[in-house]
Amino acid sequence: MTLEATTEETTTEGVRTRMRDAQRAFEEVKSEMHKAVVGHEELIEGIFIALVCGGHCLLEGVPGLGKTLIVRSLGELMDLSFSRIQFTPDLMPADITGTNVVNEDASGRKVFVFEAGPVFANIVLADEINRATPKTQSALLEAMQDQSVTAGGALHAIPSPFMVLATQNPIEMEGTYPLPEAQVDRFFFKLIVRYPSYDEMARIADLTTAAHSGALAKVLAAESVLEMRAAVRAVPLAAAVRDYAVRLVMATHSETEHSTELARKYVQYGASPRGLQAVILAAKARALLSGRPNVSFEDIRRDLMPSLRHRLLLNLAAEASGIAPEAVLEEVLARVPEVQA
Amino acid sequence: MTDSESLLREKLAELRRWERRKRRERLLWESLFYAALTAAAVVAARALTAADAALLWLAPAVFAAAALAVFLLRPWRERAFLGALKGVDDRLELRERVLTASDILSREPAEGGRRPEEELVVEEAAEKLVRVTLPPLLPRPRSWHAWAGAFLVLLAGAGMWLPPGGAPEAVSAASRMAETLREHARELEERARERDLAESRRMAEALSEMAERQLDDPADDESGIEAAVGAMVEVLEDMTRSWPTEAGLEWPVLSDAALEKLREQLQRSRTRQMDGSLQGKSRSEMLESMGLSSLDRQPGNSTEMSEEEIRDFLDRVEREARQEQDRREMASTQQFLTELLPGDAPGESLAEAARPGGPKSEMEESPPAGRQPGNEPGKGGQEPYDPAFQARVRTHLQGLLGQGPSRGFGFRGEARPGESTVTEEAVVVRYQRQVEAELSSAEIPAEFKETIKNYFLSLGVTGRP
Repeated sequence: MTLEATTEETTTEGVRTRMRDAQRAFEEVKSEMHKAVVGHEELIEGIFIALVCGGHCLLEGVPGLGKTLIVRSLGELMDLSFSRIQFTPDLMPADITGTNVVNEDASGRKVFVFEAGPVFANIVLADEINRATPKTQSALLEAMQDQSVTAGGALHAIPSPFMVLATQNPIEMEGTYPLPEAQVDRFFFKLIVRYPSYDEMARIADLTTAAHSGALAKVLAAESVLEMRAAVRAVPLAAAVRDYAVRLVMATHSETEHSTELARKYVQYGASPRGLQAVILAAKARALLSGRPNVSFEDIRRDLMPSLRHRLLLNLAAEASGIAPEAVLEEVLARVPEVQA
Repeated sequence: MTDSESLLREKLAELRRWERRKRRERLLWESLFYAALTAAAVVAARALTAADAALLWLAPAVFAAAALAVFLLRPWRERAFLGALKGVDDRLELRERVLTASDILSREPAEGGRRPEEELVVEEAAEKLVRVTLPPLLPRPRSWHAWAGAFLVLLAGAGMWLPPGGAPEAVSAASRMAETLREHARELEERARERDLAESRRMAEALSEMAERQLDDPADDESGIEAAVGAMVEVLEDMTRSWPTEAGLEWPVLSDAALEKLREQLQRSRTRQMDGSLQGKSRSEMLESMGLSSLDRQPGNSTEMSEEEIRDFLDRVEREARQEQDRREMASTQQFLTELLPGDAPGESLAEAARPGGPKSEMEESPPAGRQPGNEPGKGGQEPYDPAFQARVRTHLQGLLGQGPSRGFGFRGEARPGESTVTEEAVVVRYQRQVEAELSSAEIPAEFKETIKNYFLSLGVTGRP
């Protein structure tokens, strides 16, 4: 699905207002989330940025770290419908997308009625997506791409905003079907769910084992998310800043003039143009949510890691040397200058 | 165009002008550096080799060429202005506000004008820059070319004070000879001026010119100055041989100090003569009063002289005394020039003695021969020094007979304490040779030559030392 920008004809004061509203909403979302979720600031920010950019996220983390809680809480405070799909090896595509079922109408005639699957929600948590078969994975990925489902020859649109948060368990990879690189590339961000710290663990214990504190307040409407998406796309981007993003992405390839040493040595395939889109949109979202009217070099750098870490295909030498995509991206950030001399 | 836009355009134009100016200055400093490098290289070449200092014209040529090259090969690029915009943003912590605004203003606005988001960026950038003076935010960078160029210019200037180099051995030997010659000419001129010796002064000037010519053109080798010195030796030989005397006095017998004293005395005599106190005196009486009787070749002349004759006589005596001093200086100079020329054996010339390494040691030398006068007296077993005798020229002879006055021919040389002997045969032979030289001159009247010759030939050897 292609996200369309809808920019209203406003004055600069109106733009300032929108910027302030977006910044305030962001702060409120973070503040409200911390009532239910301990830690995970970067994860929450990343998910929110992906949401306002119209992208989907791939979450990687061991079970029990609060992934489901985060996603459900996010849906709750933004008044967005939420569904969770637990992927298993026997899950069928129709279990995700829905299917036509035979039903009787009022006159008793048998008709096909489309029963929407769990994918028809604003926020979909696809747990352990790598446990389902490729065919089932494709069904979800198609829905992500088109924001619609075709069943029985009819096109059923998924409501906006639509965001899929797919999870992968990095420690139980046996008997799983890792997403192919082409499919992984469709995710806007890959966010790492980290283990909580000592203090966070203590806070988690206090929060989750005591009496329930109550539901989260709805701080953001679905329409506001759509408005923010339009506002993100309208943030001006200077050519020099855009060129910086391009050079960063080109540096992840192994055979360009901008390639870094690790990229030349360990990268088989670098980031695609989708990666560049993610870098720039995320930077625009950062600028907007920080209350700034333009994108800076720092905004480009800020979300480079989650935008590109899943888009680099490393060679066997990297695997043998224990080189991770993060190492390549760190070198890219360190070596590529902001302004080319 | 809004006020914000016009203000921002003005500020950006100011920044662009400043950046272009800094670029021009940087490129000119770079060109100057290459020119200074060229000048320093030329000066170094001049000091080490025989390179012509006129090659320094290369420096301004390199400057012009370098300036043309750097301005053509490194034209103004907008990328350089990007760096300046980023610099402004960094210093004012605007997070690329100015850079983005500049980018927006550089684009043609779409139909219907710019988007409000772009207008906001321009507005905020102008707001931040309205009270800011941009050049101090981006001062001139320290150009190492400027510092290095200035250092090289100073180095080149200091290097011009160094003497030019060249083929070290050949040039320095000739230069050493010239410097020695110049020093002698200076001393000679000083003495000539003190004593009012015209010929000596002229000789000093000639020697000085010769030395300066060699020093001014260090590319010349030794042969030029050696030839000039050799020719001067011959000239001096002719001059000292044919010096006329009218007063009839045996000048060579008189020592230098006595000669000097005589000139002073003559000066006083002139004063007495002017008051008439010497009138009526004869030639012999005049010479006796001056202590010059022993020099008189015409003793017994008791003819009284008139005042005018006395005046003329004293003038002649004084003139000849001065000429004798001149002649002695010429002879001394001739000897000096003879010693200055390199001999057949190594280490014999004054020029070689003046070489920084000093003359070669006696162990390295072959037995002395050539023009070096005077083997050390008192040492037996060596070949006697046998110079060419010249009339009226002091000649060195082996075996000085000690100190004290002597009649006949004066031997100039260092008299050393201690015994020294010379054989009778040597003395007689030397006398005979000297007489032969005298007989060949015009001093002795022809009717007496035979008599004198027979007398000396009759001198025999008694066997006594």
